[in-house]
Amino acid sequence: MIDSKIPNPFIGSVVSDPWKPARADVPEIHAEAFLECCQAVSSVQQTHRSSSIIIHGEAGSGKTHLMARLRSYLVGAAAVFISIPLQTAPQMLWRHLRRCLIDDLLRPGDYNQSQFSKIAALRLKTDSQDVTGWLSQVQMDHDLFTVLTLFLANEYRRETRAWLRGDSLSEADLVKLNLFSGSGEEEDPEDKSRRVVLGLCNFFGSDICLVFCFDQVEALQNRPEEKIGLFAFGKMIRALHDGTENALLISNMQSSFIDALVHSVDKADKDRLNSYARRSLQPLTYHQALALIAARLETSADVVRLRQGRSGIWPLDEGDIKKIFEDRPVPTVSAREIIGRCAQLFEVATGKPPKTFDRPADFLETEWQRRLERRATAGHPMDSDQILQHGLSGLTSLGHDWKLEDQDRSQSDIDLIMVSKAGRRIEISLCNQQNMTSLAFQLKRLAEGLKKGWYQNLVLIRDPRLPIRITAKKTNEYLAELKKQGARMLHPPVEVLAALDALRSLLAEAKAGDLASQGQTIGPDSLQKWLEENMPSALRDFMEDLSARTPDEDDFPLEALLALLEEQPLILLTAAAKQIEHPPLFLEAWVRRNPGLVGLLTGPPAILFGIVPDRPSPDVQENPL
Amino acid sequence: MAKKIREWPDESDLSEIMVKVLSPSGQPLTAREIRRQLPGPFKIPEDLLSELLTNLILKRNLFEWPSKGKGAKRFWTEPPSQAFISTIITQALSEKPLTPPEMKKILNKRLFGLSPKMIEPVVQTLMEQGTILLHPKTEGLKAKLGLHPPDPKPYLRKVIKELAQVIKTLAPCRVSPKEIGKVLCDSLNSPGDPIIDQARPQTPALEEEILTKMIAVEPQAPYGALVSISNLRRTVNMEKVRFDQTIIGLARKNKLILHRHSFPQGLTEEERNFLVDDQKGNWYVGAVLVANRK
Repeated sequence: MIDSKIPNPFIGSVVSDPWKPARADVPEIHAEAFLECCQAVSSVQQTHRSSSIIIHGEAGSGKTHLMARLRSYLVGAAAVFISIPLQTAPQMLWRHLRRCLIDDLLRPGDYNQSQFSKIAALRLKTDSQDVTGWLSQVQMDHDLFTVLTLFLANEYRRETRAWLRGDSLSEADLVKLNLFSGSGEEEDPEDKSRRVVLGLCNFFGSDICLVFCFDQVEALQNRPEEKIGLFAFGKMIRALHDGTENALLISNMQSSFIDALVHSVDKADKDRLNSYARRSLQPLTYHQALALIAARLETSADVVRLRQGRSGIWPLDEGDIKKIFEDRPVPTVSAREIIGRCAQLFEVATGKPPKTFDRPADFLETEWQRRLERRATAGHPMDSDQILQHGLSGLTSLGHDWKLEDQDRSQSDIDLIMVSKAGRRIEISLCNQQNMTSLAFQLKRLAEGLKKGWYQNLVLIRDPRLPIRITAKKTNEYLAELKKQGARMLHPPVEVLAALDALRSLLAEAKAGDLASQGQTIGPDSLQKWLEENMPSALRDFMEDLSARTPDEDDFPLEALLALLEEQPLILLTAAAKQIEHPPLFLEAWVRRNPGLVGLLTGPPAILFGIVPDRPSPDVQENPL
Repeated sequence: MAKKIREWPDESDLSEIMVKVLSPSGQPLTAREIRRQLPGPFKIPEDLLSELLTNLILKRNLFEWPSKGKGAKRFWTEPPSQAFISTIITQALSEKPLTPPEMKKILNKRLFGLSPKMIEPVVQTLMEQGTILLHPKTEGLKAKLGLHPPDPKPYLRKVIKELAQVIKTLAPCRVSPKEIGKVLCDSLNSPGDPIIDQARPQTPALEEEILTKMIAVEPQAPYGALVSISNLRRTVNMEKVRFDQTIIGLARKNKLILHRHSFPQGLTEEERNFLVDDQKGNWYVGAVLVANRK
C-alpha cells in the first residue's frame, strides 16, 4: 500500500494544446506517423513545394500529443509551428488563421525568444542582408510591407502586432502606421487576411517550413448535413497549398470524420488535403500501454522515489492491464482510456475505494463554470466578432426554433442570418470596429440597404466595452437613422460574451472528441442534452433579445452612457443622467435591469461606473531581432 | 534596328500552367504535345521546356512515362506506379465484368501504352489476392474477370432444367415445388452433406476475401491506409452478421486493427448498420491491415 497523499500521476489525460509540453512521451507510440511528419518537413524544405498530411485516429488516440512532439522537434529546425484549433465560423477561417499565425509566431518561447525572432535572425544571418534588403526582395501586400517594416524596426510594437493579428485599429493607430486612408471603404476582411497570410509565408522564404497544424476539423460542422464549413476549409487548404512554397499543412481529425470531409470538399481540394500522406494513429497494443504507464509513473518524483528497486509498472498490476485488453471483443484501447483506467487503479493502490466515474452532468457543470470564469476575465473586445459569429452558430444549432441561413457574400455587412421555423428572418451585423470611420461607412451601407428593403429585421451587435464616442458624429447620425428605420442595436453584456465563448469551445471540443472526463470521451450528443437542460439564463435572455420584435426599450441612450463612462469611469448617477439627457430614476431602473453593462453603487449618492474586465497583457516584450 | 527582346514568364508560373495543362489531359503527353497546348505567352522554346520538365520531375510535380514505341518521352501528373495501375484496373472492372480481351483493350487505352510486362504482373497479383475474380465460362458465356462474385443463375441452367423434371415427376405424388425447394435450402444450409460441405466457403476463405477486397477498396491499404468499413461492406457480397463476425475475428487474430466511431449514438440506425458491431456497444468505422505488429 502506498501513501494516499501521493498525487495520482494519471490525473489529467487530455493534451488539448500542442504548445503545452506533454507530461510523458513514449517515442515508439505513433513513431511512424511522427517520422512521416518529419520527412514531410524535410521534403517541403528540399523541394520548395508545399505539401499536406491528414492524421486521423479514434478520439483519445493522441493526435494532439503527436503534434506536441512535432512542435518540440521543430524547436531547433528551420521551421515554425502554428497551431490552429478550428474553433471558428466558416466565414472567418482566414481571419482565424491570421490571428493564430501571428499569436504563435510571436509567442514567447525558449529564453523569451519568439519563433518570429528565431527565423528573422536565421534569415538575416544566412542572407547577410539588412531588414530593408530582405523586405524589398519579397512580393507582398503593400499594407503588410509597411507594417512589417515598422515591426522589424521595433516601432509601434502594440499597433503593428494588433494590425498583423487582424484587429480593428482606431484612426489614430492607423495614422501612426501610415495606413489611414480616410475612405472607410475597406476590402473584404477575409480576402485581406488571405493576402496577409500568404504574404507572410512568402516573407519567410522557401527555406523555412511553416507547419500549420489544423486541429478539431470536426468543429467546422454544426450539423451532419452541413457542408459549408468543410467546403471552405478545403478551399483554404488549396489556396495555402498552391499559393505558397514552404507550408506543411497537417489536418487532424477522427477516423470516423474522414468520410464527411471527403464528401464535403471538391476533388481538387481533397487531393491537396493529403498530397503527401494520410496516416492513421492506431490504438495501443498491450506493450505500448505498459510503456505509456511506466512513462507516466516516471513523471511523479514521489512515485519514482517509492518505485526504487521495483520493476514493471508497480504499484499497478500488469494483470489488471492485460485484463482491460482481454475483456474486449476486439483488443482496441486508446491512450486516453488506458490513462483513465490507470487513474482508478492508482487510487485503489493507495488504499482508497475504487473511484466511480463522475456523471457527465457533474463534469460538464464544473467545466462550464471554469471556462466561464476564465473567459469573463480574459475576454477582449477584439475577440468579440469571432465569439459572436461562432458562438451564435453553435447556439442556434442547439435549439430547433432558429437555424442559420447560408449568406450571400455580396451582402458582406451581414454576418449572420437567423431564420425561424415560421420563416422570420433576422439579419445580424457585427459592428465591433475601433475605427469610427469604418463603422460609420458600415452603418451608412446598412441604412441604405434597409431603405431598399434588403433586410427584414436588422440587428446590430456591438461589444459594450467599445463605446461610440459622442464626437463620432457621422456614426451617431447613421445609427440614429438605422434605429428610426426599425433596426436594433444590442450590446451583449460581458457575461453573455463569456458564455458564448465557453459554449463554442465546449461544442468544438466535444465534436472533435477532445472533451473527456476520467478517460471517458463526452460526445456532442451528451453535451447538447446537458446544454438544453442547463442553458444559462444569460444566453437564453440574449436569444430572446435577438429575436424580440420590439425596438430598443424607450430608445435608451446606451451609446452615450458608455461613451461617458469611457471618459469618466466613475460618475454620479444624477450627473450622468444630466449628461445623457435621461431622467435619473429611469436611468437607475435601466442599470438595475442590465447589470452586466454598467456598474452601480447604490450610495447615497448613487454612482455609476464602467465595467472593465481584468486581462493579462498579451504583448511580447522583446525585440524581434 | 533594335532587336526585339522577349521575356519569358517566371518558372513558377510556367510550372503551374504546365501542371494545369497536363492534369486534365487524361493521358501522358510528349514535350511537343505539351508545348502545343501551352497558351501563347507560355509557349517557351523547346530547350527551355525540356529543362523545366526535368525540374518538375525532380520536384515530383510531374512523372516520366515510357515512350510509345520509338517515340519521344512522355510526361504526366500521375506516376506509372503499381498502385496507379491497380486503381485503373479496378476502376475498369467496377463498371462490369470484362472478358480478358475486353480488359486488355481498355487497359491499353487507359494505361497509355505501358508495356504488358508492367501490367500483367499487377493483374496476376490482384487475382492472387482475390481482388479480381475469374468468372468461369459456362454454356453461352465466356470467361470474364470481375470484382464481385458472378451471378450464379447462368451456372444453374442445367440444374434448373433437371429440377423442373423432378418437380414434374413428383407432382402426381402431391410433392409441391415449395417442399422440394425447402429440401434444397436445408441441404445447402446444414452440415452433413460432404459434397456441399466441401463446396461451402469456410471462415478462412471469407477472411481472405475481406483482406483482399480491402486492397480493391483502398489501393494504399497495404501501406497502412485506413479502409472505410462501409465502403468495404458495399464491395463484399456478404450478409451483415457474417461480415461483422469475420471482421471481428480478423481483429482478434491481429490481422486487422479496427478504429471505433467515437459517438455512434449520434448516428441513425441505417448509418450504424453499415459499421461493424461487436455487440458490446462498440461500432467500428475503419480497418487497417496489420503488417508487423508486436
